[in-house]
Amino acid sequence: MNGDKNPLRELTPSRSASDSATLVIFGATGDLTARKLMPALYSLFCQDLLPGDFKIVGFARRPKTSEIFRNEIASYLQNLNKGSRLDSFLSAVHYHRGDYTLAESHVGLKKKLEKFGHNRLFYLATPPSQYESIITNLGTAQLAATAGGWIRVIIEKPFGHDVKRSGELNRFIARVFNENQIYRIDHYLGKETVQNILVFRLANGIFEPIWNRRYVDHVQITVAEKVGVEGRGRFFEETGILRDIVQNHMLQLLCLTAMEPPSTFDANAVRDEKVKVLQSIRAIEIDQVENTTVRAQYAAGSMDGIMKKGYLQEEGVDPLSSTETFTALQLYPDNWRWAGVPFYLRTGKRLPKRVTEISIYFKDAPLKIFGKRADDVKPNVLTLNIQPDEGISLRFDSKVPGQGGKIRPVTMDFRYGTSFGVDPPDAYERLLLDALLGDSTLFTRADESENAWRIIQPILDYWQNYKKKPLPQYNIGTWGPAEAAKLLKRSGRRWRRL
Amino acid sequence: MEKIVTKINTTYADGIPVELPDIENRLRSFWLNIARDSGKTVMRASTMNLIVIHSEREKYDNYQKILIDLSGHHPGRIVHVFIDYGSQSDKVFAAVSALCKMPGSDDRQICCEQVVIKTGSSGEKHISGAVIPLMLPALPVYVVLTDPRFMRSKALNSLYEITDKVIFDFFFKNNLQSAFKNMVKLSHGTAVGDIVWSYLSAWRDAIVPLFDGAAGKKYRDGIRKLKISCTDPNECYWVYLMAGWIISRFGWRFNADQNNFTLKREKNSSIELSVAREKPAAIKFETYENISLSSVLEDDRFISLIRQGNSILFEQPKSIHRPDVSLLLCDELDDTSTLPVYRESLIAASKIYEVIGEIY
Repeated sequence: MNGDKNPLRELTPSRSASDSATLVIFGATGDLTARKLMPALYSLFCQDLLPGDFKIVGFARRPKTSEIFRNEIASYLQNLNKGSRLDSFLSAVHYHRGDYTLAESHVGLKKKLEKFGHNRLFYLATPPSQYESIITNLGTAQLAATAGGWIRVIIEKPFGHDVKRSGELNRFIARVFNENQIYRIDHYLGKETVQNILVFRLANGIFEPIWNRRYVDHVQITVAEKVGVEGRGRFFEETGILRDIVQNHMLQLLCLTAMEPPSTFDANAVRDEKVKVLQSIRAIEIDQVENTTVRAQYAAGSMDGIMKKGYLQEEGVDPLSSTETFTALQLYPDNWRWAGVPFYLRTGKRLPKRVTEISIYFKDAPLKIFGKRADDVKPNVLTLNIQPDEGISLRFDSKVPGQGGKIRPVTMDFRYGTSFGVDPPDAYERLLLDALLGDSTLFTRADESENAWRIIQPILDYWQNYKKKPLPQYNIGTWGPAEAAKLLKRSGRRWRRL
Repeated sequence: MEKIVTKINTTYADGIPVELPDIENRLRSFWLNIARDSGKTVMRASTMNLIVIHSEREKYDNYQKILIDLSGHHPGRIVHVFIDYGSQSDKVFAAVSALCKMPGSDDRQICCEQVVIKTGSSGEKHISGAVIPLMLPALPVYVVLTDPRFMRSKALNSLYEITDKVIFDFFFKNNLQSAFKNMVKLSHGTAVGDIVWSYLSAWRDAIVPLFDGAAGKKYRDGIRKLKISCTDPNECYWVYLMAGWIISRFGWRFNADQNNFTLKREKNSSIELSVAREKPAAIKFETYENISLSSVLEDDRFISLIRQGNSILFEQPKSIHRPDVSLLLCDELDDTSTLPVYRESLIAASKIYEVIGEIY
């Protein structure tokens, strides 16, 4: 038995982190901290899942005292209705004013941290442009070194801007931190249904035998957002939805759907299999980009009874911009399991509803024996709903009761909320706790990120070199441009209506 | 189809007003409330999305009853839209409600969700954006149009793009040319159905036997004149539809000489076609042998088959059952395809109108 491990902890039902720990949040006054990190931490605190000796240090440029910072956090959290433990939670919160680019700010941080325990988790909730300064200064201030405890760093996406810069960023971080200290966070992986993909596939004997090219016709992955760029026009101009959503969230979903069962459920075994999927995806040649991808921008239109601006009219957006707010792709994992099975990905802003799901379309029954009603027979579809209603549904055909022979598709639904009587935890809760526990299974490894960039790089290059102006437009509140429908129609398929 | 059970409980029939972005959340909590308030098991059933769009208040009110009838057989999410062209408003009002039925002796209710959306003429542009997000995933989407003008509304195009079947439920006397064109155009992009077509099934059933057997074939080959008349100007559409049906089924071709409209058959003999508004409503075939075959509607309740000529035969008037719109609609909702015979009839009817023009 490993002498470092606490034998009493093993096989205990709770996953609470028992060691003392300090979480340092860079970008503590930002939106992510207010909307996601603090509510998640408070929820973990209320469930007694945080260490008894847990401290939070907010690091940001704005001058303020710890007391003011606590008051601000209190204002975010007081509506969460988590009972009366807010004061106790806030007593663990501190503020450190500093400049990310100045070494002395980090030296000051080090002094402050010396009062607390040795285990430290740094969370970079800043714009990516600040990563290099912060990491350099953490190294200079010797905050990345282990001194009788553990040191980990969480980095928010995007992990780079393209394949070249992604590699550069990884190599840069590796100068200061070891790969096993780095937790690249993609909050999608913290969602309960995303984690359930593997459980569903591998814990249920009936699905895995049909999870392959012999039975699956194609797979559709959709990440639809109802919001537009929401005042982030300038940021989005530099990014586009291919980088913002496909490179990370969607390719992660694809990996979990397509990967081989890992030999064990530990972090590296799972991530090794995901990397193999990414490596197997057929490279899109430059001359194939037009046929296998679609890009478009939303045009002005009505949503929720209000006329909304088109992308080109948004603040911070170049009126001649060719940045895409919608994309659809056709990818082929060229491996033994999936040879010839297309994976269709689509994502966009200002679509009719916020929804993320994976749909596995199975092949038709081998023989149409129902005569005139044969056309009513639809393929079976297994849908994994990631958000907003986490669950799983299966569509199959059934005879309509009565004398006739009518056939109609029906669905069998499983919903997390109704089946277990509790809502699944927020993704950030899960991921923060995993990081505190040292479980990196749900975080992205450097080679995963770089392989994901490799897949989309030819598309980025092509789009950069052939800037269509104007891009195809789609009306706000619709499921994208006509070109997206054509992408599937060429092979006699259609997008699932959501 | 059997009559739908009529034990109805319309919970919150007037609807609870709600802001558009909150509809889904409201519907979610709504189900909990229905079960709690009624103290009975509630089965939320969904087999389809049904959108019904109106421009007339009276039709809207009538449909409220139709939809309640429908909910037991075709439960699903119903979006009931009323565009009041008499108002300039662009404000969109929404309300949620449930239509519940108790089909059995147990205390089980089957409930449909209903979302009511109302706006004025300037709010038409908001309808697609309000309705599309409400569609339940993967279930068929049916749109019932009760006014032909909706077909030419660009604001509704996005809605038609996600629709599995558009069902027409209108009589029209104006802008027939545009209406026919739009119906045919829509039928290229999506499946279409027609309540009037279903409604005319009694007529079709009356006509078919006239041409059965050897005698029927003889009559058919001998037809030289086809005359169709209707009594109500609102029903002129059905005249064209019936003419379209007969012409397309018999394979008659339109004569290129449009100044003198005739139809050609295989052996190139011509058939004279006329449509008219007169009483009684009738479909009349005259043959070369001076035989007249007619299907005549009397009192809006009976169809008589009459054969006149060298073999004179009167048939007793046949009582016709004109089913409720809810039953006709049920038939349309059982199928997401276009009946080929309807589509052919519609295309032929459109062509006839193009050549003949209005019925005076």
